[in-house]
Amino acid sequence: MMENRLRVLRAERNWSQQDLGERLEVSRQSVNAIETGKYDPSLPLAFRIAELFGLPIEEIFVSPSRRSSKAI
Amino acid sequence: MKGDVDMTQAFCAATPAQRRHSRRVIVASIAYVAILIPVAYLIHHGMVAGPWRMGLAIVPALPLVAMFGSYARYLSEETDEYIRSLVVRQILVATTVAMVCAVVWGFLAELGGAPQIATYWIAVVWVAVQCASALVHKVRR
Repeated sequence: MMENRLRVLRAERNWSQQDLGERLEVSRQSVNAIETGKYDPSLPLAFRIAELFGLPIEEIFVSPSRRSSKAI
Repeated sequence: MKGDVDMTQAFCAATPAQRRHSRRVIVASIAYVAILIPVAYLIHHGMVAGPWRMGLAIVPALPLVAMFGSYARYLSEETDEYIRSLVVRQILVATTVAMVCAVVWGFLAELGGAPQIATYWIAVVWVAVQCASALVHKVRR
């Protein structure tokens, strides 16, 4: 599963999971599952998230290969 | 912080597609009970015979067929990819368990002398496991 900065970005804007879900047109459970790393979003949803926060995808989601290379 | 973990909302939350699916399943269930009782009465009291009996026997199955059709429609209507992936996983678990039960009981009945069971029980097992799987997910969440 990919790590991500969604919770931090959401908190910076003082949005609840429900608020973010409504902006992304997904359920609160989906936001929770992505934030907690239980679910990796599809590419279209990842792009919607990136566009909503005005950031490139790689600044929100951490590539699993990059994470493991950092660990080495 | 506003609404991060609202248990009431978490338990009751449903997507629009889930609500439509639930409505269709409830209507199909009511129709099933409303149809089954008079059909069973007519057949068990010998009031219908021959080809009419065959035709009438299929009528209670129709709401259940609609119920399974509703699952297929739900999967095509669901726009929330995470929720859809959960339901697909539940359907996979239910299908695996129902098929295993069908195959195992089929051999037990055919070769082991166990009693024959009506095949519609496969559907009952499928629905029961699918519901149990959804319940387990809600409890674990």
